[in-house]
Amino acid sequence: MKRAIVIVALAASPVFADEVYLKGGGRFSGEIVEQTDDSVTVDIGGGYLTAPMSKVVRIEEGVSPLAEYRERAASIPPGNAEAWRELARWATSKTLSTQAWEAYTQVVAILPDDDEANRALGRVLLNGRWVTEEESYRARGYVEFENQWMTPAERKTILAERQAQEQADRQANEAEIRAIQAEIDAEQQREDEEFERETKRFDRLQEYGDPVAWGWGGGPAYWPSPVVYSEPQELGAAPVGGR
Amino acid sequence: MNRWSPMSRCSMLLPLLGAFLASCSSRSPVDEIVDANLAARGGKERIQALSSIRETGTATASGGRVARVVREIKRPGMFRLEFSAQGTTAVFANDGTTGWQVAPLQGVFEPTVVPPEADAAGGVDQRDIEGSLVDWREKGHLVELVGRETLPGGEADKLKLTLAGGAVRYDYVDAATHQIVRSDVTRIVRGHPVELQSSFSDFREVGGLVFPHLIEFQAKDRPEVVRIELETIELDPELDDSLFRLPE
Repeated sequence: MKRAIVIVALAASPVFADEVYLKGGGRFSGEIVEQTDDSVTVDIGGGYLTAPMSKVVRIEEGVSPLAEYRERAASIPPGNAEAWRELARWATSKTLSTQAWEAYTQVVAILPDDDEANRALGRVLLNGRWVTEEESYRARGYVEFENQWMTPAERKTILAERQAQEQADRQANEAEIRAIQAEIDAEQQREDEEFERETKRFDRLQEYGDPVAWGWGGGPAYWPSPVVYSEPQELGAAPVGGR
Repeated sequence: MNRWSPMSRCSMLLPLLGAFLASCSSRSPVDEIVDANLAARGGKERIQALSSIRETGTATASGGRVARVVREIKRPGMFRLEFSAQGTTAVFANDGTTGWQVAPLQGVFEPTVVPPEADAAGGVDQRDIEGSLVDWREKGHLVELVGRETLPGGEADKLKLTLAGGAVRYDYVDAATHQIVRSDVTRIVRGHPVELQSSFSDFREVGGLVFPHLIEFQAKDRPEVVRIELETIELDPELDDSLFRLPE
């Protein structure tokens, strides 16, 4: 019997949720949907946030406004616009924009011409008809560009500026490529000249012989050039080449 | 025989007369407008006695978005803004030299230094608790009178402020109330210069100082408006310096 009472009490208690505290004062609350040693995922009512546990200072248990909203919303009987309105106002006061939007949408579904709910949803009265924010902007001549509403003239200016910038960037890139190519050419020329000098020197060495390197067996017949590495090497690494 | 002719005596007196007239002449129109503004705000002395402030309010934007905002400023040049929406709280702060933020919705879960262009309080003027017009010369700003314009609320003198850091701002001082009713500043948003207009209204007195309690801002020629309605303004609250410093 005692066990049954405990179960009933738990079922009747409000949905517990948690507040996740971050260093520096950042925090978020909602309903924890998953928690591991490495991370915590919270349903914040407008999506999910997953934070690494290494960034979490502490987690405090409590009833989140989101949990309270869901509980209250579940208890509203069908067609009760005033209950939804009250809940929408409450959600607004708790900065739960997504839930306020949801509740005001319920009000409009019941009372399509409700002034407060339509305004809260960003709707505008246009020629005696409530239209969405987007429709009102379009009707006033605005255009949407990269999630911003602006005048067609401003969009044109932005695009023109971007085009000019891209052209300038392209020209700068081309100039940079030309400069790099010139450097490569100059380096190639230096190498060619050095190779030519060395070749002449080796030719002369072969011509006159080298008392030092004039060795025996399979040893070098001429004085080797300094060893050249293509990249810095660790001690003991084999050279990639030499002349 | 008098060695000085009347003419030469006059010419000797001219510089003295000039100096006298200069001392008697009225102050420049800019000084008059600034003085009137400071007086309307509660007086320069009272403004300069303010050491810290906390403003709490509600921000609303299109699409039914709503947020709680708490802004704290403390001398010298410390700033902290908490922005709470949809169950999350983001912090943007600056200790006078370093700007940092924690922004869970942006995936920033630990205090992170932000580059100056993204710093909510990067500009010295934004962290100036008394406002840029107080002792503007000493602060290295330049203030010029551009002209008078007619705004929806009435006539206003348009001041051009070239701030010490080089940024330019235009303040509109209402000719009747002497309050700053609008402020324009150009910011680079996603690589494009955008002129941001802030309008100030609902001026009310708190502790001997007058503050706007409604701030609305929008990009010029764009329809979306962000409104901040201030509910409480606390003067000289206890604010520990650690609130503004980047946590270790």
